[in-house]
Amino acid sequence: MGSFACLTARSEREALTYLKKYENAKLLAGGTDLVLALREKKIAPQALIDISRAEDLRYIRRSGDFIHIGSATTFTEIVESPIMQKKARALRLAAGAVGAPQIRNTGTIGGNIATASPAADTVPALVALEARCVIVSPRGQREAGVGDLLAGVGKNTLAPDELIREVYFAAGDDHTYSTFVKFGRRNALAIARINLAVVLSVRDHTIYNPRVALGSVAPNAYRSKAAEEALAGRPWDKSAMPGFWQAVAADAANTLGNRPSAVWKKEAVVGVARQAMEDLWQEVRE
Amino acid sequence: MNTVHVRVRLNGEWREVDVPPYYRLLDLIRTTFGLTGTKEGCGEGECGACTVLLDGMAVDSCLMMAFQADGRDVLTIEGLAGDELHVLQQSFIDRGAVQCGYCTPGMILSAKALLDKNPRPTRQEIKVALSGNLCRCTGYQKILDAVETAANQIAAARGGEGK
Repeated sequence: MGSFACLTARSEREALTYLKKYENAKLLAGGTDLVLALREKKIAPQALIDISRAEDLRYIRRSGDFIHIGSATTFTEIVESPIMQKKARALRLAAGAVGAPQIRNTGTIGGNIATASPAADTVPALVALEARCVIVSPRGQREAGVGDLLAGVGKNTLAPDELIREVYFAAGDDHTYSTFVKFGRRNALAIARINLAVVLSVRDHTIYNPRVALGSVAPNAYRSKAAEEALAGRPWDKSAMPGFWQAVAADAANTLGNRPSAVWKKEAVVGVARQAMEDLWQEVRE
Repeated sequence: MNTVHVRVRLNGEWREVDVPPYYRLLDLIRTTFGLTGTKEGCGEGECGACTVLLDGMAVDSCLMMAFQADGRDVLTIEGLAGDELHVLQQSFIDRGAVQCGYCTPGMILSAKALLDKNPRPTRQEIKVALSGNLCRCTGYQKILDAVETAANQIAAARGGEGK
């Protein structure tokens, strides 16, 4: 693996200084993907910039209608956050579904997005929440939807000198409910074979603004418009379910294409969708 | 090839070394410091045999670069016993929770991280806390029993002190 610089950035500013200095640097936080890529020689950076202890990148804050999460915030911190007990349940469930305690203790939400695995657990929740990222670099600052940062299996649209500062999303009102389901080979230490997030509002026994994100059935997680259309404006009873399941199965089959796993995944995704809605059924009290 | 300077509080004692930049915390522990209680079961964070406590938090040492532990507290299985075995170590022995022993250091440290934070866990909470540690021998039941026993003993000891 040879030689590279090992740099510790205690702040965003320090990280940006290092990013400017080293053309071929990699940002390191939890390392749960990066360290493997390094050892498998999939990457050969000239510098590793450790941001795991950049305190100004680790936070969970409520600001008006929005929740802001620093990119170096760990999954454990998300699961245990008092703010996350009350809002954006899909994201808390997703963060809690990642790997195992050891992975959750160091893995970060920024890393989960940037690694852009098709099976990333927090990504479907973030996509369903319509989350956006604030991205910084020595050249300035920009924003992008989480979905726009994902560009295929393991590919993101970040420039080499860019760093995700935070991800933010609407907290949702008291009529907003969400869920996340992960289907993997084990109850823990499992990569998702299918994951799914649903965020919706229920008022007057009617579904509003449904957002449904499917993961692990395409290069990156995505919103299923068909599944959302099957729910939007429908009464909050189980009458919308068959249409919803059919839409989820059709979209998944479409994006799975000819993969060997398509044969079973396009069936199993219906079970995952059913589980998600049964969970929401317990959550919604109106 | 360059080296990186790492200063770490290992099992209560500050140690300073220079290691290759690509060393993981696991390599620092096993190769540099010769503490082989921490195991490399898979090298990819899927088995937990390499679990150590970093500032009290269970982490897979195979996924952390050595330099990331600079200035931090690392507890390995060797750091648990004092003049006597730690109550967790003793209860693992007493409850038959050790067969080949390969998963045991990681299991015990994950359990310690749990009990330090949650002294009265339910069996389900124990299962979740140990869900990052695989065992191929025991079928897990005796490991869970051992953690429950240890928790009860710690609680009883505290009760005895009038707390």
